[in-house]
Amino acid sequence: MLSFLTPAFFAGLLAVAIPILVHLRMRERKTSLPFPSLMFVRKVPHRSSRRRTLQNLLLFAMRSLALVLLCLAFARPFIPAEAGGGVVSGPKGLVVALDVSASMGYEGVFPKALAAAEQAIKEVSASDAVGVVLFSDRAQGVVPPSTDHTKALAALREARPGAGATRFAPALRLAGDWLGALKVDRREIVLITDGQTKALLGAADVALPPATTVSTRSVAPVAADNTAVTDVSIEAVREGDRSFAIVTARLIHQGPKGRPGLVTLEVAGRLIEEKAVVLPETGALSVTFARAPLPDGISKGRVLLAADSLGVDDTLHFVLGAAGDIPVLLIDSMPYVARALEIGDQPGFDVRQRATLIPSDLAGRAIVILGEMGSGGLGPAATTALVRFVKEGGGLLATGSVAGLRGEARDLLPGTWGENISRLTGGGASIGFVDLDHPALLAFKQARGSDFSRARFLQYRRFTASEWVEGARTKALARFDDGREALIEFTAAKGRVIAFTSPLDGLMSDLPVQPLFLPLIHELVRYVSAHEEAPVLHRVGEAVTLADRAAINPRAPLSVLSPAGRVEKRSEGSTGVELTQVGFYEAELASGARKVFAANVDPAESDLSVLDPDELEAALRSTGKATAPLPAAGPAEAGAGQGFWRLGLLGVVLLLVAETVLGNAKGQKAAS
Amino acid sequence: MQTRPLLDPKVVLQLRDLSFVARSVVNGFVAGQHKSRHRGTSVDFAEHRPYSLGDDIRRIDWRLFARTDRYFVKQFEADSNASFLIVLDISRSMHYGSAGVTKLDYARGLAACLAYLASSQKDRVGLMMFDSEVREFIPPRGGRFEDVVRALSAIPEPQGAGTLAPPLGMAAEASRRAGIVVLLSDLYEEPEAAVEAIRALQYRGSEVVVLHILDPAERTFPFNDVATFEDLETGELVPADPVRIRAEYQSLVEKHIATLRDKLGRDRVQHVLMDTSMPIEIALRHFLRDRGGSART
Repeated sequence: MLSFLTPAFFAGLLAVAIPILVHLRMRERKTSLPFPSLMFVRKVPHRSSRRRTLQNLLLFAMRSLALVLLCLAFARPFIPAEAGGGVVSGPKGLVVALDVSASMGYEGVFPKALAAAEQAIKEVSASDAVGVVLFSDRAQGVVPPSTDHTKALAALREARPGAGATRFAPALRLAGDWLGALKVDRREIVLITDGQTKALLGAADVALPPATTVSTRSVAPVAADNTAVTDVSIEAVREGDRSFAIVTARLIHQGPKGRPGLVTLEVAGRLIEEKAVVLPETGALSVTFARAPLPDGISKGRVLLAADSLGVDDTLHFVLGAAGDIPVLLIDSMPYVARALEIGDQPGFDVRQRATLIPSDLAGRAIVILGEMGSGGLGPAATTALVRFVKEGGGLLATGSVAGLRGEARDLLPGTWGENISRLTGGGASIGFVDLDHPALLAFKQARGSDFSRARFLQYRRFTASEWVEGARTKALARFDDGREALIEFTAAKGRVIAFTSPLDGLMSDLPVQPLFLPLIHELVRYVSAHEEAPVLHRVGEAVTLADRAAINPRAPLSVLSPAGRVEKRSEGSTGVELTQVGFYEAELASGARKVFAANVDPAESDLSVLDPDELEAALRSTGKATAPLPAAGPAEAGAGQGFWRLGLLGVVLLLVAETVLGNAKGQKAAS
Repeated sequence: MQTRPLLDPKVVLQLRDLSFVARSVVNGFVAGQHKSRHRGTSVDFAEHRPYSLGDDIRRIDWRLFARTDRYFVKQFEADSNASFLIVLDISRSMHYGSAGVTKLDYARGLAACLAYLASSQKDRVGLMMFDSEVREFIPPRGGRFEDVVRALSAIPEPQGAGTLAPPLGMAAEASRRAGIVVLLSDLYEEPEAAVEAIRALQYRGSEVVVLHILDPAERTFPFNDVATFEDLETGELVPADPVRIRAEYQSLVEKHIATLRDKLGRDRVQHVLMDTSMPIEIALRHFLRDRGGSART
């Protein structure tokens, strides 16, 4: 039986009424039209329209038929491959995509999913090709489509739920690729999942081969009751030499009734506190624990809830003290900057102070602070090393003899240093302008007591930038009251460079003894070193960078200890790790430093709200995929019988050509 | 059908500064603005003529005699009143109007205006209305303007198919002296027959002016629907497809007009096409100015 993909185009048949109306309108009027004299009308030959109207009936019929055929073609007629749910024509390709995300670990869900998958495989005929894909936020093709259904069934029995988040897109993409390579009449993808709203992310961008149907079989728990620890926030406290952390955990509960529970905090393997809580009915709760003493270095922490039907989200893993200190190489004979960097623990500063720059000291440093270097300045080797260090992403904060940079290092500060400008008379210069919107100085925008104008500068160097264009390579962050540059930023390759034009030696300016000095140095070091706070926890599926390439010993492949206790050797030069399990990943860098990452379940997996099948269907439809249950072949899989529209268009063309020929012939005949 | 008021004050006001000047000199006795073909007593000197026996010796130009020693008589242009006959076609075809006014209304408005002008110039005004025969005739006489207007306001119902030859022949016979004859008609006759009929009006030496009244639809045939057309004159029904015949129809009409103009021009009959879509006062103004200009050349 003929069906139509876009029957709405039949509305175009109304257009057939147009020639009919024209025809009716063109018919001779029954009532006569008075006219003064018809002496001229009578002289005109073929004045009567009667014969012409009769002749035009054929033209009218051809035009109307052309319109009907046009509408028919646009309505995309097709003969369904499977009509009435019984007759199957041609082979079929089926890919069963089984959800193995974390939420599938809910009690009773996964067996139900396996049963549904096996049922889907058993429903097809023996000649149909069946493949199996296991998916969460990634897709794993375990059995490519084949007629050996036992392989698919065996693969299903081996499947286990993991820790990933639910995403349909990777599974659809892989299944589509598989099905596209098959020479079959019908293609079907069966998604067996508990269904989650975020699962549809990216699904709209997946292009499936023609005549592919996507159906879902929901195995979501009907009345789920689940608790989870989804997040923590950590406040660092320092008392003397001891560090503490105050941990606040966020708990959620999804269930018809509130219920009591126990929540525990562990840090570095020690039980810090166990608290009794009452979890609200489908809601969230924050719990703050007693402060936990922190040992030096990195500490592992966990917040645990009593196990329930979904155990993977009952424990949240996090890392304390992972941010690390900023490694600083300080070349300065004056004490001010060094003293400033001794204070501060969020982050702290790992200062290596030297009187002069030695290239080997740059290893592992994130920033070099060039202060007073004595009479020697930088040697050629040190200059070359410094330039390479900055170009590879290192930072340079010049607080002293920047004018003494020679050779290649001059490119780090592109400009001309002029004479010293003395402001000994008049009490010295003050800062007249500060760019408080700059990221390095943004902290001072709303801070009280950070008065830049209180510092006095008795002498500074004139600096003329070679490319003095705002927003380009150079930028003045602060200017003196005479408009001269006081603080300049340069961007050299990957690294950042900031320079003072007046030395911070306590002689030519009193800035080092102003209250502003300490936070200013801290902020500048933080900015120039491009320091970023390390997150306390990650989610499964994320990829983390263990360290900069420079920090990895190329001769010794990096080893990563996964939560399952397996040591994974990273390939040479590889610096990243993809987190696939819940727990702690540990790596030891060439420098001896230890890296620890905490991986946890995506919080969306803890939300077991049943997605309305209609909503899921609508969502899949909105992505351009047909969904199910669709026992009979839908329009999208009617590819085999879809060629009628071409015939319709061909008929339209032929009719219009014939109409043109006939019309012209009649016109010429009438004219003669 | 809208009826145009006669002697619209607006029309008269606009025509006050125009003078209706006849192209040729006509006989007349009452001093008017039309030049008489006879020399008479007037203030406008015309020419000298050698004295002949019987001339009034008071007309001899004695000063010229003193210079030339010959007798000459001074002749003057004597202004005279003209006989002004309006011949109006009231046949059924004139009852057609597509632009809000019928040709008949338009024509009688024109006729009234012309009658008023002629009357104000002391001309003797007359009116003849005809269809297949003369339906009303008011001979040209002085002071008949009111009668003319009254007749124009009560036009009788047309009878029979309009023909030009019999009624115009009767008009020519009824005119006992030469003057100006203005024919207002749509001239639905073959050009030869129409010209022959009009030629009769020149029988006594009258100057004939033909105002060819046509509705714009008669020239353009603007209909789009196939229809059965009814001839207002004969009642004949003719089915036609206007779209198809329009071009040919227009060609025939224009050819008809051109033929009439050409043939009438040869007989020194002025042919003026009046389109009823043009405001009557503007049409009159143009007509009278053209006529005045050509009369002075």
